[in-house]
Amino acid sequence: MYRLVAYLGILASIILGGMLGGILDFIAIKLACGRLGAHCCISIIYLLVGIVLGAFLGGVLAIVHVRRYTREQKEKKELAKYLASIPENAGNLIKSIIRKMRYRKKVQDDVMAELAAHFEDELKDCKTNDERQRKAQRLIEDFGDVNLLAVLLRRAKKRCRPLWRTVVAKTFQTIGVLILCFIVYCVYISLGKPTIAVNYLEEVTRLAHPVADESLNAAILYQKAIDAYNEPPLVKYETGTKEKNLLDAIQDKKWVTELTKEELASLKQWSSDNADSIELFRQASEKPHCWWKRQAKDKKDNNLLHVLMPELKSLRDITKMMVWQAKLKAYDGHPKEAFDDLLVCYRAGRHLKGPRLLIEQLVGMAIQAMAVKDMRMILCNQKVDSQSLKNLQAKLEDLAAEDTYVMSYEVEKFCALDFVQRCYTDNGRGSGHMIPGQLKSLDSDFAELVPDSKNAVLNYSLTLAMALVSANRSKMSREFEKIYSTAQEWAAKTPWQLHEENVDFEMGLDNWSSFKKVKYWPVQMLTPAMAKVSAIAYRIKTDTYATLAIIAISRYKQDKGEFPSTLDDLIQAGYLKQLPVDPWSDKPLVYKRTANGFMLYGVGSNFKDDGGQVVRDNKGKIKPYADEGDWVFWPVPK
Amino acid sequence: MKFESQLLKGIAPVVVLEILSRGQMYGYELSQAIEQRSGDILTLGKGTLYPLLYNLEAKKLIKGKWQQTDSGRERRYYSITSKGKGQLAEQKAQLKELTAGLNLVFGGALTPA
Repeated sequence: MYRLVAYLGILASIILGGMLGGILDFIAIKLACGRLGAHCCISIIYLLVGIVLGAFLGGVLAIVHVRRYTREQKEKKELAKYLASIPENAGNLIKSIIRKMRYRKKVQDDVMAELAAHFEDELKDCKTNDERQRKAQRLIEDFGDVNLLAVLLRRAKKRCRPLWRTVVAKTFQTIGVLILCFIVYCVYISLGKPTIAVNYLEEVTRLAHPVADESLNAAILYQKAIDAYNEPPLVKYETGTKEKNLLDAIQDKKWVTELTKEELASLKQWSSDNADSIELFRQASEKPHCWWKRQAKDKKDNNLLHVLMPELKSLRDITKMMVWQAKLKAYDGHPKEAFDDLLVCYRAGRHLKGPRLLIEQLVGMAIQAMAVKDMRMILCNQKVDSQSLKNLQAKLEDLAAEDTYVMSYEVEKFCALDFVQRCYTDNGRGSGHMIPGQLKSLDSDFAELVPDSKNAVLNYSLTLAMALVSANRSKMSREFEKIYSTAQEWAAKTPWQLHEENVDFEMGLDNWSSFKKVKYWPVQMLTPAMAKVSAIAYRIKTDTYATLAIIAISRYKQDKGEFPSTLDDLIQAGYLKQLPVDPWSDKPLVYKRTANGFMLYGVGSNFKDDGGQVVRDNKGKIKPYADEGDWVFWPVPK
Repeated sequence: MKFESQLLKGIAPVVVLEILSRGQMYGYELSQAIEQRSGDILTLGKGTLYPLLYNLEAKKLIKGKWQQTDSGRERRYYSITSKGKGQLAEQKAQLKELTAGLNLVFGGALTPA
């Protein structure tokens, strides 16, 4: 009967083991797919492997358990025989000693058998039951204190165990202690609270806010322009082409003649509908200063990483509208008004530069880039009189002279410092540890690391792991300071100077050991690509000065009837104040006379003069600012 | 006679080793042998005997093994090892010297009549 039950038990374990193996396998595959973001299907083979493994393990465990149980039952029977042959009080004493001994079952059984045998031998000569009971009681008293005896027996038996068993036991004890310490440490770091000592949002506002009256603040008018702005309409094509948003429809088009009549009509209507917005934008651009009152998503916490800048997109869209309006005006024979519109955009771009977040500075530069690019586009497609060109050049020179073309990392550094103060404790000595719970509450930058899973345990485990591995507060702050101060130092140097100094743009981040990368993971997450970002500032400068040179050349041609031989001729003839310098060679831009006119280009980011060769993509479109080839400013690339 | 436990503490192991050097015994047999051979002067408490045996076993001075007795019962027999014999010889020599020294101190009063 017992055998039957045992076999049924083994069979049940195999089945249950298989089911459990399959379920765990399924969950593991699902989780792996979710974490990796890969599209993977649950393979039958993987599930079968899981089921077979589970069944095998279940079977093995069941067999081991049955064998152990059988052996224990056998030993219990033998022990029961021993205890049955001695009085009950002696049996209770022995059981009590064994229970208090608290050691391995096999050893306990051995000791129990030995003590029971001793009692049996001591009582074998007793003739009556009473005599047995009395002698047993004397023996019990002779055994002494049960607790002490149990301790002595346990100690002695522990000394008997082989060395390997001692080592294993000590190892497990050590691991247990370490695990306990680890758990305590995890609880300690989880309970930390940050101390928000500095309101970096106010610091950012203070930096951008000069000592000036509100009436000189362009932001107020920009906001009114944004409020009055109408979104671009949908273009309805007569040919049956699907309706498109106007800006999407014309984004790849460069000149008025490329527009369809529907697009042209929509553009004119859109421009007309936004007359008020444009006028406010113009007025704003003439103000000397611009500062915005920044707010975070949650007004209570002033988290710089959550700062809202809804105006940036709107300002870009208004700029796009204005540059097309300028092209329309130029096409209709009003170049002066066209250039005025573009200068408005250039001035507006300046308002977003300086000690601000990188995103603001980049939008400002993008606005300026649109303006100067379309100045060249107009010069390429329309004949503009010399006086208009002279006026344009004078105004653009003034604006360029006052402008800054060096990226500022001061405010961006505040983001890193705000992250540190919100995610670390402050132990009063400049250091502290990362707090797991704070990471999830931060920006979506961390969303890819801390997935928005409904599994709170998984989320907590991931953030805890990130907190455990990262460097402490003082080390992290020092690393951020080092990186941003290096970036600011480099921002003041031209790309050519950095190239000559053989500067490592990644600041050795690529050469960090895996351990260091893991330890300083926020540095890799929060720091932008410094080299690329700083280069953008120099691109705008080159763009601007190239445009000034092109304007001067156009004027020279109109006045003298031919193009200058060199750029120096422009300086000598008083058409240009300074030669346009290429930051990628620290020499003047390359100027060549051609059969059709002239060519003006920079050597590009490969620092080599490729003779004005540009790089095109596989559709034949020129890749602006490509890593190879030259950057051609004139002729305007088609 | 009840002896000071500290006095007995040091000699209990050497007594056990001496008894076992004459042949293997199990726990009860050993405690009986100690009493008999010491003329009932020395008695090892039951609470001391087994911890002592296990400690000597841990030091590899004796080894234990379950065997069947003549009456068919299973008992754990203890026998002295070669290391135990060496230890016994050493301790016997020390005890001899100690006894000689004490005798001199007490003017021969320790020698039994």
